[in-house]
Parts: sequence; C-alpha cells; structure tokens
Amino acid sequence: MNDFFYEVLDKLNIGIVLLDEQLNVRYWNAWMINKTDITISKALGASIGELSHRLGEPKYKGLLQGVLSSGNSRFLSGAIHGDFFKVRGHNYTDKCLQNVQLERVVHDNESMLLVQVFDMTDQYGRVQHMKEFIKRLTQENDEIRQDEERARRLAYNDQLTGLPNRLFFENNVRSRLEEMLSKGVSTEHFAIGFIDLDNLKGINDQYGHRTGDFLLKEMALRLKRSLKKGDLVARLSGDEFAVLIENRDGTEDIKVTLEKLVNYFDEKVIVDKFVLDLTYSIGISCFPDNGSDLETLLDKADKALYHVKKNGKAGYAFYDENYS
Amino acid sequence: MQVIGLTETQEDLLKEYVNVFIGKAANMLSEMANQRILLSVPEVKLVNMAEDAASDSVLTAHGHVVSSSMRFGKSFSGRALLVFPSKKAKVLVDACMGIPYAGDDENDPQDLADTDFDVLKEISNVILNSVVGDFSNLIGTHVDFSIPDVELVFVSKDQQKSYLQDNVYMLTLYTNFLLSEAHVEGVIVIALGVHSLNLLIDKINEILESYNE
Repeated sequence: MNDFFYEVLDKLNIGIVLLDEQLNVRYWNAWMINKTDITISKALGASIGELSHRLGEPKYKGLLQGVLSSGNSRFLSGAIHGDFFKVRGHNYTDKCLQNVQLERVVHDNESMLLVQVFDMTDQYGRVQHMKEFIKRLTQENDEIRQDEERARRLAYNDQLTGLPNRLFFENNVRSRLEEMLSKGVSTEHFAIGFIDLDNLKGINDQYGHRTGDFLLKEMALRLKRSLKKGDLVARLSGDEFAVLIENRDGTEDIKVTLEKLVNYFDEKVIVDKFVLDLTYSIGISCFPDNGSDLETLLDKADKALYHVKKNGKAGYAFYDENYS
Repeated sequence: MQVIGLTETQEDLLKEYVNVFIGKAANMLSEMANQRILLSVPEVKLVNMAEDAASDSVLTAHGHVVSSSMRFGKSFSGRALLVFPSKKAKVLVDACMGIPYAGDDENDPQDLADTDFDVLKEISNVILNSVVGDFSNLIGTHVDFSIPDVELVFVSKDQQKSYLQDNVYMLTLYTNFLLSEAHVEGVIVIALGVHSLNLLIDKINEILESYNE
C-alpha cells in the first residue's frame, strides 16, 4: 500500500490495525499510538496478543482466525466485552469500552485482518449518567407521589378507625348532590344516616379511653360490613358517625341496611375480660324528600337521631315533620 | 408471475438444516453471554409478501420492533434480517450483559440505549453470519456480507403489509431464544430474489432426491 493511504488511515478518528495471517501487526495507525501509547516500532511485527490483553485470549484468537478463514465479518460490542486495548491515562475505576469490528481484507493475494477500534467510553459514560439521572428522577417522582398520597390520606381519613373523615364525607355527599341535581333526576334517592355510639362517655368513665376507642373501632367495622358498594361511612367526630346509603330498590333497600346495623346489637364485645354492649342510635333523612342540600339533610337526620335517643336509644328512625 | 412455494417435505428439510445452522450461533452466543442460550427454529415458511401479508408474525405485528439487517451475496444474494419486538430485544440484551431479568413489562422502547444497540448488533452479527454463511455453504457458493445495521422501527398498522414488501420472497425462520430466566421470540428473514430462491430449492430437491435413491 502506498504512503498516501497510510496517511489517510492516520487521519481517521478510529483505531485501525492490520494483522497478517499469523495475527502479527502489519499496521497500527496514529489513533492507536495516541490512545495506547504503544509506538509503531513496538507494534509492528508484534503478536496481537502482546498488545491487546483481550485479543490474546484463546477465545478471541479463535474468533480472529475464524474471520480470516471464513471472510465473515464480526462485530464485538464493548458493552459485553469491555475494552480490547488499554488506554493511556484512563482511570480504570470507570469502565472503558471499545467496540471492535473485524473484517478480512485481501491485498496481493494475501489475506489480512482489518481491526477497527471504536472508543465508546465517553458515550457509555453519558448513557450511564443519563440512566442514573432518569432513575433518580423516577425515584424522586415516586417519593413525591407517595407523600401526596400520605397527605391525602391524612387529610381525608380518621386516624383511629381508618374511616373517611367529616371533610371527605361532606365533599363526597355534596358532589353527589350536585351531580343528581344537575341531571334533574328525581328518581334517584339516597339516605343520610347520623349515628351516635350510645353511652360512650359512660364507657370511657367506667372502663377508660382505651376501651372506648376499641368500641369505636369495632363500630366502624360493623358499619363497613353492613354497607354495600357505593354506600359511604365516615367518622365525623368523637362518637359521631355518618353514612350515606344509596337507595337502589326504594326505601326498603335502606331499611335492609339499617336492620343489618341493628342486628349487630346482639353481638357483645369483649374488651379486657369485660363483656360490653355495643349499640348506637341512627337518625335518617332522605334525599330528595327531606332536603336537597347537605346541611338540611344532616340537620334533619340529627333531629331523627335525637328522637331515637329520647326514646331509649339503640335503634333507628326516619325523619318526620313532627320532629322539628 | 409464477408464485413459488415450498412443499411440506422441503420445509421440513429446511427446518432441519436451519436448526443445525442456528445451533452453532447459539454456542457462540452462549459463550459471549456467559450463560447457556438455546436457539431453535420451530417453523420455517416461505412467504411471498405480495400474496401473503396476513400472517400474524413479528413481521406483521405493529409497534416498535428492532430490526437488524444486512445485504449479502453474489450469485446467491439477498437481505438477511433479524427482527424482535423491542421489549424482547431489551430482555435479550440484558441477558447477554448479565443484567437480572426484570420482566417484559418493565421495558420501554425508549429504554434501549446506544450500547444496547451495539449488543444487538453483535447478536445479529453472530446469528445472521451463521445462518447466511451456512446457507451459502449448503448451496456451494461464497457470499460476501458485512456487519448488520440495527434500527428501532415503529411499524404502524397501515405499514404492516408494506414492511419489507419490496422483496418478493422471504424465507421466514421463527426463532426462539431460551435464556435462563426468559423466553424471547424473534424472526430471521432471508429475503431472496427469484434466482437465489431457485438455487436454494434446487439444492433442497437434490438433497431430497439423494435420500430417495
């Protein structure tokens, strides 16, 4: 080959090595000299195994010979194989990656192996940094979402019973009312139930607040078990709970749910060897018959509740005009 | 134009040969990935895209696919492709790089980095070299070919039929990669012109006749 082509090869921004059939170096371009610090005089005639820690291994030698004999080109990725030639000044605590392309070339009936070396270290480093950056962003995003979810739960849930709190209940009922009123649907009904745990103060005084809290939690469980999908239960404050019971098949449907709640009265609660009654009083108002806004419905349910309490507690009553 | 097809016997013989070819590639891949990789070709089909675009292979699937392709040949010439759905390609790359299997759903086409394409290039290089090289040996001719180009292609529903349509006949080799924790399906396509296809069919017939003698 003439000097002009060698000059051209020296200008390339990739490593070019030519090997003869014995895998000895016939050409070593300027890029290789600069990168590896191996001079041309040291490289020329040397076995590739002396210059490359990787290509000297039997596995790779076989591969080089395979390309020479078959003429089938091979590509070796740095992502899998790492580096093939030690790079001058590279900090080997970081990965050094080189892609290598092997091709057979023939000159004057002599087969030679063209080895092209591409340094992928910087590119790999950039990709790794980008991947780490994306991973960090994803983690931060997940943490923010978890915090938001936690904050949302705290804002809308009662800590003791795990039920939705007053704010959630009121927002939910208001939005249902708005939706129904905007549709002008008069056939859809639901009931609002105001519920008081009977005699909580007495229990707290006699058995302590821990027992009272236990009863409140048990009551929350009973309420949840009695309701159907679409219904809603919340703890409003202290011993006050509220339910929204959807009316699917007329008021009978609401009565079925109320009977379920009342049937629990027969089940005693055992707390610290004490066998206690767990009863509650429920006042019911219905939308739209007793009102079409939350305040009115709650107020009328409260009046019905008062009526139950006045008449011995442990039961339920629907609002009646006479209670006003 | 006369449409060329393969008989069941011809397909069976081709399948047998292709599985031997691909076995060599599997050994090379296993060595490369430091884990046992098994390759098999359970189905070989000759598809004329102009006539038969209704098959439900990776080729006619829509979405992101990773396609490696290289032209080859002199007297026996054509184009060889290795096609994977992109999610599967990532699974294969990770396996070759020793990255634990995270499940198919974890992968997104955007997750394929430049270095992943390099790995795919090497995988395709090994497989396509092996298959095309052995095909040319079978026919008794030498073929020249280079390193495959790898690209991420989005194939829309409208493009399903036109993808690769400019090639008349495609020898389609449905390929299974069995990795230690995952199973990756891909397709090797050898797109051949009529002349090259006839060379192959003649050779198959010659082998079949020698069995019958």
